[in-house]
Amino acid sequence: MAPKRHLASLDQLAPGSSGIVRRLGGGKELASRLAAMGLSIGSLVKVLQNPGHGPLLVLVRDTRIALGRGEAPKVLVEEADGA
Amino acid sequence: MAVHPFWGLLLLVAAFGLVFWATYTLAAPIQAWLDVTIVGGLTQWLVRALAGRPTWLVHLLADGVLSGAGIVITFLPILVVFFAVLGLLEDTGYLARSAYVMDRFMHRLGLHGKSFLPLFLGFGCNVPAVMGARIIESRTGRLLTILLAPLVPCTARLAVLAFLAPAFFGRSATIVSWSLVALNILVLALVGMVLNRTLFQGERAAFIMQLPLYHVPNLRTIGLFVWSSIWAFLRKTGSTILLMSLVVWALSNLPGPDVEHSYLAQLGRLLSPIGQLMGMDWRLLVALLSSFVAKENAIATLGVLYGPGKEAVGLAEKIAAGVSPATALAFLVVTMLFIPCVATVAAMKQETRSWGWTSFSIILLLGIALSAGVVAYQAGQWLGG
Repeated sequence: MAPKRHLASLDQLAPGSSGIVRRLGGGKELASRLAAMGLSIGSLVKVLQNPGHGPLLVLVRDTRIALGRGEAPKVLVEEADGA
Repeated sequence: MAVHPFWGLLLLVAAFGLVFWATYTLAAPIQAWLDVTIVGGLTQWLVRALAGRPTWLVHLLADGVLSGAGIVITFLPILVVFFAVLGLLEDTGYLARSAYVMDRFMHRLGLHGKSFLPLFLGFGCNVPAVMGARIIESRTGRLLTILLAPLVPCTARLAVLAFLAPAFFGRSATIVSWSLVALNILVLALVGMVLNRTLFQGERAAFIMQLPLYHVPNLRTIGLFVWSSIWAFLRKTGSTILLMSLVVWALSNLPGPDVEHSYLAQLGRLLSPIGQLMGMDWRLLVALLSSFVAKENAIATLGVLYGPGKEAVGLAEKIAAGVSPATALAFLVVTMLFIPCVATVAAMKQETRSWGWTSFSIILLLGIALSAGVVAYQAGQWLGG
């Protein structure tokens, strides 16, 4: 078992960094929509664009997904090293 | 590149400029041809075939039924080209990227990026704008987009503006026209923000969208998209347009021999107290009311009411001679913001599945248009005097 690490929300990640999804907040409906897009618990996600305002662009399971600024904080990831 | 904050925006402007250009150069001539050759020819044929029958019957069929059907038919080229170009952009994968680029702007209106596409279509025609709102998943987002769509100035309104502004304002016509278009966008933004903070409070749709990989568009996919959109328009919206234009035709032809003595004109005279606040007499009011059938009707009605003379040339000048600049400004402001045309109302009813929201939109726009008209007239009076 890997040691428990600090979880960061997706909007806190800098462009180019990546992490593994550990928790989905914001209720069942949002969680299922996120999962339907491939953003499910355990998936590796890479932030492509995070301009600080407006939507984020992330890469998950070889798919580019646009994510609103309101939704990104609901995705909690464990930051991956060196990626 | 297409999702870059700056270059992406530039590319977006170019892409939609292309959509606009394609629609104008491809669809507009076909539309004119259908209107003159097919609808006009059919009307003439009908009048000849019915020679000897009662005049009211000929009138009903030629001006009521056929002109209603004419509206439906002449909408087709615009819709086909719009949906085809849109389908093409969608199928290549670009459309999703444009929604991503516009998201931060649309957020201020309580909408997200996807609403930009249907609203943009509104510049061509509000009908595809209302129909295009389908692409938005959340009901509130879809509703808000539909409610805002009629505030986008469509080509028919721009045509009225282009026809009257030069006669009213001479050299300042260009500035006045651009200001009026800007006014529409401003009102759209304001209404969006207000509705978002009041009626649709707290209901925010999640913006999650897949950006597909770019790929070569499939003609079959685009064809099916165009076909299903057009079929939906013909089957549902088309019949409503036909019905409503019959009603409005009856109002503007009964009981009297002409528009001047119709129920519509009576309504116009009834409304003259409101008209006075905007400096408009009943003729301008009737022109506004008749623009409900189709926006460009405003010109035709003014032609009937102002110019008993046969020559169409100089009509704009004739009207301009009869009204003050303040009145002219108020008239153009109201025309630009007025209630949506019959076709748009029909599409709204179809898409919202609610007469409640459709009436809400009409009352809202009526209120906005009339208050803006009063303000424009009073300001014009004050500046001019």
